[in-house]
Amino acid sequence: MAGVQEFCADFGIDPQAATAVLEQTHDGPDTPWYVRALLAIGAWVTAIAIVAFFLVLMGLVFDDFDGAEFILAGLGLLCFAGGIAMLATVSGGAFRASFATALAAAGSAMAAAGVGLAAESIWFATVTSIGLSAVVIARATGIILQLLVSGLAVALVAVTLITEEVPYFLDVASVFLVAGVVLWCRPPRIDLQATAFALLLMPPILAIVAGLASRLDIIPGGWAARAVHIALFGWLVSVLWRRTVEPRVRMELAAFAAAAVAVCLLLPPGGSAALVILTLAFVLGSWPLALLGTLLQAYFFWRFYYDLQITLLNKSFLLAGVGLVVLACWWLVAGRKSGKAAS
Amino acid sequence: MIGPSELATLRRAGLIPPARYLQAVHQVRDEAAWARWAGRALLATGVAHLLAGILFFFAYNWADMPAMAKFAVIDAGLLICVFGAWLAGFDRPAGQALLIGASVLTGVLLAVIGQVFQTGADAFELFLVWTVLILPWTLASRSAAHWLVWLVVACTATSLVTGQALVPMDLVQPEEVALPPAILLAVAAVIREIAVARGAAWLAPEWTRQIVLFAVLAALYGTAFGHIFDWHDSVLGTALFVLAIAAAGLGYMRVVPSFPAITQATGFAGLFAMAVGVRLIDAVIDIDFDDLGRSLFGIGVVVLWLVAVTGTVAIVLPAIRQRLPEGR
Repeated sequence: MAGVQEFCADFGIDPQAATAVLEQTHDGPDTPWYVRALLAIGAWVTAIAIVAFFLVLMGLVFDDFDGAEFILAGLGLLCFAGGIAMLATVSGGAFRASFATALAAAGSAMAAAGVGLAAESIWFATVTSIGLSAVVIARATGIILQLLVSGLAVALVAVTLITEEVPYFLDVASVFLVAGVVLWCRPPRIDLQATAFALLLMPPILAIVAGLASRLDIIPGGWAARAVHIALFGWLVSVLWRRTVEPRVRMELAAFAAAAVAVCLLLPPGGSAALVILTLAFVLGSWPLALLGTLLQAYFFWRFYYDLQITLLNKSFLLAGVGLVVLACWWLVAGRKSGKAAS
Repeated sequence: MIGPSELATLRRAGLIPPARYLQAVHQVRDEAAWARWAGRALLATGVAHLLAGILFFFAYNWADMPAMAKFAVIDAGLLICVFGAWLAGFDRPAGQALLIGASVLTGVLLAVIGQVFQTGADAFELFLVWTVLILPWTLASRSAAHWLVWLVVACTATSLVTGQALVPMDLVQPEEVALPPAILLAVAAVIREIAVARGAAWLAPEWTRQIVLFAVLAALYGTAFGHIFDWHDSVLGTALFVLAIAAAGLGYMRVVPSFPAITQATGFAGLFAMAVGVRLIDAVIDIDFDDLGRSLFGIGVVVLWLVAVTGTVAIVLPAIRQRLPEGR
């Protein structure tokens, strides 16, 4: 926490302008992230029911499903537009906002499915979904709807990469991690936090799906992804490096970077993507990202046991080696602190 | 004061250029808290990898390694961990990590005893002995992470006792296997609150409360959900779920105020209300996909019910937050 005057002086901001902006937008405590997550789950469940409603409606109206995909896409776009319009006019009505969010999310799913079915190509569904995400972002309709629609778009990209058997899909997906990190670290004026969150999630989720689908006939890749993760580590560490002048802290950062590179090279790319998220959480001071990174790390740890590429014995040496490298890094940090305390 | 949310507001207003955003974040974040977190995350990651390496090594059951060598390696590891923890100080981070290592190695030792001597013991016996043996170290280390490890071992033991002993003896129904671990976790949650109230600062971090509460509610919700949709007829699971929600709501509102805990309880209550509503609507309207008109009406009512539940949660939570003390 920093005082308004002190903060404004450091950043060359007019304190009166800053105070005016803060007073203008401050209408009570901000909604915590976990409440937003809860409301997003509610909207997601409702959206599924809305999709079921329209599918049954179509079944009732049409005897023959020939051409129904166009109707589905049209209905989806109508729902999407209706939801967006409702959200634009809502002022504080929680029930209307819940319905509008779920309606727009359901609409985006139906529109993407309709277009994809009409074109008989998942690429078209994905492009439609990305387009609708852009509309949600441009209209600034709220972070929950942005999370649902962007999440759907990112999920469709992941499904497309696997179903279309795109080789080296893990390497391709690392681009999304880069985009997510950049959006978190250099956020534009328009609020893209939910989209950035979905982008960060994509590579680890794809690695999870790839790990579960044991009979993929394509090369998943992973070495380019590891290189990208190492580059991201390097960049995040350089951000911290620039903020400090103390030689000892810089040495710690260098040790941490070396340990991170070793971990990235040794572990599967999903695990190193989770480590990037943990490092980002540290740089940004974000507890939700720290929780996400920890959960993903725990999952990949558990999943590594079932990885059939190498024997349990080799895995044991690999894990113990990584553990020793990280512990050496910790020892360096802890040693500095105890040295400081002693002096 | 400028905190993370004020920073986001200033950034959206265009007062902070994107290129200087990280510098601004650095200025407002709690440096000391994140430095502590980084140190502990490094220690936890290192210890977890090392212990997993040891676990995997013995899970491989290397035939070329003589049994006595296996015991010697594990016993030496145990001795190093306990002696090292004593040297470092049981309640210092390094000592705590070493005691966690000793606790995990105890489980490995018991497993290797089972491998070598083929004792024929059930898995639940191993976990029960493990739970009891590591309890003194858990209490000595005064570490929340160690407490969590102990709780995982104890819950696994309870699940195995239920599945391998109580269910075959007809003392617990198969659909209620999640209930004994949930009760154990609920007791742990209550003990945690009492211990913190009596000054056990090492259990005070908020995550210790949230993780146990989530486990209790998730375990009970699973059983209650199955009952609502007639997958089984365990009324007990549903009754315990409702009781847990009521107790959590009252307890975290009045006794130990915690908005994140109330949010969890409200979330699970909302999911329960959704499930009950869908079941009741189906019972009254009889949603049948052979009769599309009836189904359409039924699903329409379901949509309205889901909107009502989500909207109510969106209204109730801010109202509760305003009634809680600042910062809780």
